[in-house]
Amino acid sequence: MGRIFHLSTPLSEEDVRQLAIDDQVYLSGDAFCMLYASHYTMLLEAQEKGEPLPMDLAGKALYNTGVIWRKENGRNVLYALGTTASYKFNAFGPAMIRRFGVRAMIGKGGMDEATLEAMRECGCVFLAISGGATALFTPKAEIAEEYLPAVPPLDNQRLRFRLHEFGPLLVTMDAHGHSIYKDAEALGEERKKNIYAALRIQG
Amino acid sequence: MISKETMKSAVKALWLRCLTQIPPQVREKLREMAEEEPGERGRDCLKMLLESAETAENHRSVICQDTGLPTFLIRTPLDFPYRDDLRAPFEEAFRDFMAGEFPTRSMVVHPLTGEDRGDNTAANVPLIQTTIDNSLDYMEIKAMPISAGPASCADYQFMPSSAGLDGVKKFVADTVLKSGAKPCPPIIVGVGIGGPMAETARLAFEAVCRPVGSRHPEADIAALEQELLEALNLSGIGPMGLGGKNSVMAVNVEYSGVLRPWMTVAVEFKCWIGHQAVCRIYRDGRIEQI
Repeated sequence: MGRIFHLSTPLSEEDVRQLAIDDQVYLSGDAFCMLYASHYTMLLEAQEKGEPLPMDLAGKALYNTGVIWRKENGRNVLYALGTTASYKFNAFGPAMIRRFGVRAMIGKGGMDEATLEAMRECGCVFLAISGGATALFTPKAEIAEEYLPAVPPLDNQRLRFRLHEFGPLLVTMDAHGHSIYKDAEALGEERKKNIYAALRIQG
Repeated sequence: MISKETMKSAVKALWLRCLTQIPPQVREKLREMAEEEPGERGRDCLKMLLESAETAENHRSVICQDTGLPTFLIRTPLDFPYRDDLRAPFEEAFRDFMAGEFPTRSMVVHPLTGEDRGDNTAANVPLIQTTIDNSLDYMEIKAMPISAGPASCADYQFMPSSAGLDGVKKFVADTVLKSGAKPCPPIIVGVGIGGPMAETARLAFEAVCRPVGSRHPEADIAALEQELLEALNLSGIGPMGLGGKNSVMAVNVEYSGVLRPWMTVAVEFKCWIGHQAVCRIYRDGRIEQI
């Protein structure tokens, strides 16, 4: 059993460096919805052109989630937020960490080795939520604002969340080069052999 | 005569059930797995999944924010007394949901233009597959959302017949190993064997929709299901890919005839939620949610 941490954004480098695999984090503060590749590319491209970003990402969390919500009487009503697979955004992980100082990636299934390296270098962690834990996590967040205007009906997911003791989030990639996903991959070949043997087939 | 309104109300109640409740066999299996999972990480995860499902059911909220591509399997006798357009009650149900009855995220678009109608309908969506079964005295509708993660791991392979059963087993093992955490394990695996591609894929889908804990009526196939289940749980993928013993909840196999020189196999996935719900509409208009 890991340790339990209650942290708030902006996260400092020390905040995330102290975390180890299996620690559980309850996070408060700002997280930004990153559901589509376009959410990453528009920020990276804006920065490349020297344009100002719509938000300050330093010390904040990116959250791979899809959100069911709507505006009702001027209020942002959140019906459901969950978690989507983060591997889809591997290509953007390192740049988001190195250029913007993001300190936490919230998602599921982990990210690749290049992202892990950027996490080690700059101080950032991957915080995992189980897919389908929507009902448990939805009450712990609210929609603070749309960080960019929606493009209906294609994209109404450009959201900044205000998190309240949002957790338990499991540290599955830490800021010291450890990743449970990398460990699992390393065991892959041996496990494949065991499965083939159990099925009485040749590799 | 069954009215379109009767059909629509049955479809609506059915769809809400499949988004907000997990099937009882899945709940039972998850409880068993949570008891016996040796690692704390996996055990905690399984307990959280059960708690999440219970909370969703109590609050009548979705279990997962991915409400999927709407899919319905219909079994009906040929003389079932419904004469209106078959798609209409389904499409109208989804429009009503998005108009405010039960808002979800619009996840279905035109594959080439990206056009989004905003209500989870598109060309041929909801997907509706109809089977005539004259042994029934009612129409049965099974509903399931096809979620993005698990469905993205599905695969098909064409092999020469010499690949045989070993080739099938190897393809199933490799496909599941490759899927890792993506399909949100512990997963249900559906295997289709035989037929040309459209049939192989249909079989895999039918298999993945079979209730957890059911066994194929033929002893050889049932034994293959058990052998695959035990072997695949050596993968170490574990709940949500966090590592552990319980990666696969069920392996279901279905088959059809195949041309002599071929061997074909398809693998389908369902996440731990095992999303599905069934209802029956009787000839007198009575609706039974099962």
